[in-house]
Amino acid sequence: MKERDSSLNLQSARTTRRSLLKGMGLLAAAGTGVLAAPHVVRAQGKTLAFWTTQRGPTQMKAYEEIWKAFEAANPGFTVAPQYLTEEEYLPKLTAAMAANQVPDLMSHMPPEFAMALNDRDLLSPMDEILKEVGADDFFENSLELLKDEKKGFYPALAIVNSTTTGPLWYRKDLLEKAGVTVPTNWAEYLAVAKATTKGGIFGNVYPFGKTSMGDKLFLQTIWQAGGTVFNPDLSVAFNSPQVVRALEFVQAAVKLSPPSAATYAYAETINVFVQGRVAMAPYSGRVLGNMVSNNAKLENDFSVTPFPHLAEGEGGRKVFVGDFQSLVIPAAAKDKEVSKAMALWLFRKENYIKYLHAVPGHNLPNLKSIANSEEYKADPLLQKYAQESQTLIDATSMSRSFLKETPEHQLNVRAGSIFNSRVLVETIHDVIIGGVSPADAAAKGADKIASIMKA
Amino acid sequence: MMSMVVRQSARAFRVGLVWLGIFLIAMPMLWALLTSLKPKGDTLTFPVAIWPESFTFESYSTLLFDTMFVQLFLNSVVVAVGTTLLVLIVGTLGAYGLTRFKFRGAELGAATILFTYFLPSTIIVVPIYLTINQLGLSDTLTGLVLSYTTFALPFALWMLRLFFQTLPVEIEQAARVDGASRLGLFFEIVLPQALPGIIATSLFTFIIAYNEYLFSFIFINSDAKKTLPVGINFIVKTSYEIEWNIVMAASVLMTLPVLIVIVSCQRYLLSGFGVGNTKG
Amino acid sequence: MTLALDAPAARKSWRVSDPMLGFLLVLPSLLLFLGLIVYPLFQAFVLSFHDVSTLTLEGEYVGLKNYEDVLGRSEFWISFGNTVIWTVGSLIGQISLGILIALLLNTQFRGRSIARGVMLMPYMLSSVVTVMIWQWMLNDLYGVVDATLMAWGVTDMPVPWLTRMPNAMITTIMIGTWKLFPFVVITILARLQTIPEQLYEAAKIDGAGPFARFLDITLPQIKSVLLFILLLRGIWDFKEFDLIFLMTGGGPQIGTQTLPLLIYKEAFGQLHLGRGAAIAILMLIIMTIMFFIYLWYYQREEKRAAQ
Repeated sequence: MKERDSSLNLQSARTTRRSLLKGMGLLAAAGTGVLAAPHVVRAQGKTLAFWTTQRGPTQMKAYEEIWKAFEAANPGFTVAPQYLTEEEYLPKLTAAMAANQVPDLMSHMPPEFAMALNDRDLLSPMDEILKEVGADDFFENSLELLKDEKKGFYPALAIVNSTTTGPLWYRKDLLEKAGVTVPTNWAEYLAVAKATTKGGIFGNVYPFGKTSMGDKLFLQTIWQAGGTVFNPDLSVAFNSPQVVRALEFVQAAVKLSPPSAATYAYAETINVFVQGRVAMAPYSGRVLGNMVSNNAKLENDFSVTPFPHLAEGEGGRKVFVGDFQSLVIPAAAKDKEVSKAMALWLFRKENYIKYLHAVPGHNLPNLKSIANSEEYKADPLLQKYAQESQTLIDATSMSRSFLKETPEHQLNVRAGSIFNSRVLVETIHDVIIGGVSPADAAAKGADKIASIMKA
Repeated sequence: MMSMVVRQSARAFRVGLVWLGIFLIAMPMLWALLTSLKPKGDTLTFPVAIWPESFTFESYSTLLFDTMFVQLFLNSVVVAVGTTLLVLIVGTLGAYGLTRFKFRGAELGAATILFTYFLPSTIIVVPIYLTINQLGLSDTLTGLVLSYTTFALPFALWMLRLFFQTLPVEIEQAARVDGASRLGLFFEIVLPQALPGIIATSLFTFIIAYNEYLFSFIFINSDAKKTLPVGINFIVKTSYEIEWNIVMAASVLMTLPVLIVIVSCQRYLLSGFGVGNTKG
Repeated sequence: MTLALDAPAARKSWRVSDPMLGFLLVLPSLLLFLGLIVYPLFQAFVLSFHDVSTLTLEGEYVGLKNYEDVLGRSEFWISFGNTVIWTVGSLIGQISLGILIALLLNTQFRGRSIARGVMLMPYMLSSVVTVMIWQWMLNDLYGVVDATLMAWGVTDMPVPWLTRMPNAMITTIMIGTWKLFPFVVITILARLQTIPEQLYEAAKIDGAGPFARFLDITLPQIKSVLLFILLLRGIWDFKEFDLIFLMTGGGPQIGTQTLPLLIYKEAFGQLHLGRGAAIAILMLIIMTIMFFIYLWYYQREEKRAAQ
């Protein structure tokens, strides 16, 4: 068990220190107080740990309300939410498992991580929950992705789905002033970026910090150049002309991005757009609410379009990276029935909508019944930006996961390890900062990916 | 007459240069202070507005009342004071023993102290963590104080030893002839004389412990026990955007104790530089 | 440890001997030393021969493998080179700025103690505060430095201070200089004030200009203290962690990654505790060499002063 945990963790090159040492500390504590620990746990035994990556202020408030109600409906239980970043997810889980303090329910786990954990038999089946919510109610693309065909069950369910890299937000006023129109392919994108870069405003932001955002955006760029990281049989396809083409595009886009884009992740990317310092930026629908509340003077000057791709004539295709935020229950969870009750609680219509409305348009419903419900659509922001909301939904419907790059691909349980190693976005760093040619960087990246697949 | 004028203006020029230099050096800190007095909106303007439209203490009140700043500050003070006390009591005795007594290993002891004074924290951070754990003190302020002695004790011993060396040995010898016991001598004659040195050492120890980052970063997990240098990042950067006015207010508040030390005890600090660090 | 218990027989039996008392006074320090410094150092040494995971703290004896791994990888040598560049660069910065300011301050004027206090500040600031302030000043969107440069027409677009090379190293060295130069000022200033004024007067009469006076009088007088500073600050800068770690995290890529950051990365980022310990021991060897140079020089100067 321990060996498994540590090997899982060793794959993450950028483990956060805090979680790790927490693990060390707990391990040491476990060593010295094996007998004492279970009593402590049992004494407050009904505290349930819920993990999520969604930690916007309104989201934390929504979660708090949802769990308050759960506690009221289930006397004797208290739910303690823990908020973490996507980068922390695996290291913290590893530490928690080592200390035998696994969370009871985890939400917004990237599906690549979920399937990697499932490959190690660390997750329990979600089929009962699926049945109770109604399998027909889920959008099919998420179900296809999260089924373990060999074991014959669903180890994870995408509670919501959205795409953070698919929508490209742009400033109508700046584009108009520069005399350019909304871009539909890379050539136009770069032209618009060039035309709008002046006087301290950047034409675009292409974030490539060594974070999951940098990885996802670059993965999408590779797909949009007509390439893939793997062949359908999961042999490495990274050393390809399409990846080189993608790197060349990034090279050009970064020249028209803020200098610190090399460190940008989610928060920096949305802020730089909302504050009006870039003309174009990829992000989820969170932009809608942030713009209205933080920089209302631009509230009528922006809109969204699907992130452009390499022109079809040159082999490009229209596809986006979806988030498929997954709900999972660890196999080691103390009481599966309680975990299941918590999961179903999140799926209750009023809770589901309350969560979505915490940041309208940011996460999109993965249940058809909710997507079409009047209550969901009743949100004033979604009504004000109806056209933008539709664009977000359309982009999400065309989104895929690294788990299965195309429908022909085998399920890649190592996708999470590849993400975690940051090898994709590191290729950009090699080119932009290291001065390596795109072709050499792609070759080097291919080798690194191959070695992770072998490990 | 001419040369007087030339000399005077040369002097004025020189003094002007001094103040210009001082101003340039102080610029970053002044900018931090100015930023901390701006409303959030004024920090996000483009082009950058040097002078705020209005001054406000809003970032300070946010920091003091809506965050864990005060608690982190108290943690820092507890750890810094604890370290200073421990190191000072142990170190004063030790340094005196090393300076005034001849016993086998005293010389080696002094060299070892100096060596450990130069020892990088990064080298011992891993094993010291294990040691603290074995003592059952992980994630506690006590453990942190103990870990701080790894750099604070060699520093204090070295500095105090140099201070003791500057004290004339004759007074002690005279008192001894008068029949004073060696310990009585230590408390009645040596300590009062060494007081400036002890104050200087305490001030430096306090500041070093108050500012320490690496050990605190690695040894403390609970948010409630974090010290300021580590916790501050976590206060100002967890929100979805960095509010620079608050970050700068935190910088200013965090620096206050250090500022107070500099303003009120400059003399001791300077003597500490002279004696403790180089004997130059 | 054995003690010299050659106390004179005349002493009353309940009285501890002088060497004994001396030792007793040192004992608490000694215990803390053994427990918190010597023992951990020994542990680090032992760890460096084991392949230990930071997470499980378990692993087997592997002999010199960690050392071979470390020395065989270019990352170690790049980090070593970075450490040297940072140390030499920031030394040059601190010492030249330090001498300049010390010379300026070595004159009577109103508010001198305020000036000295202000100048002490950067040195006393915590690294975290230093980094927060500079990151704000160098912010690519709202930083006052870029704004000023753009207003003066020096540049059209913000400068990537910390996200490209060699910019990041240069920026880090400049910030290090700003933070650390006060140490040089104070130590040099103390020495400058001991130089007899007559020396300068005599030189003036001989027609020596300010620059010649600096070279002929000031420099020789501060030479020994300068060498002290060089060694001492050299050792300290060589092991600097906080400032660089917080400022750049070693990036971009590994452009500003120095040896202390590499230790941290191996031990806590990649969980190779043994490998981290091996680098720590290698660094310890380098530090020991620097230390003995310092000790030799220190003792020589002490002897000279005693004569």
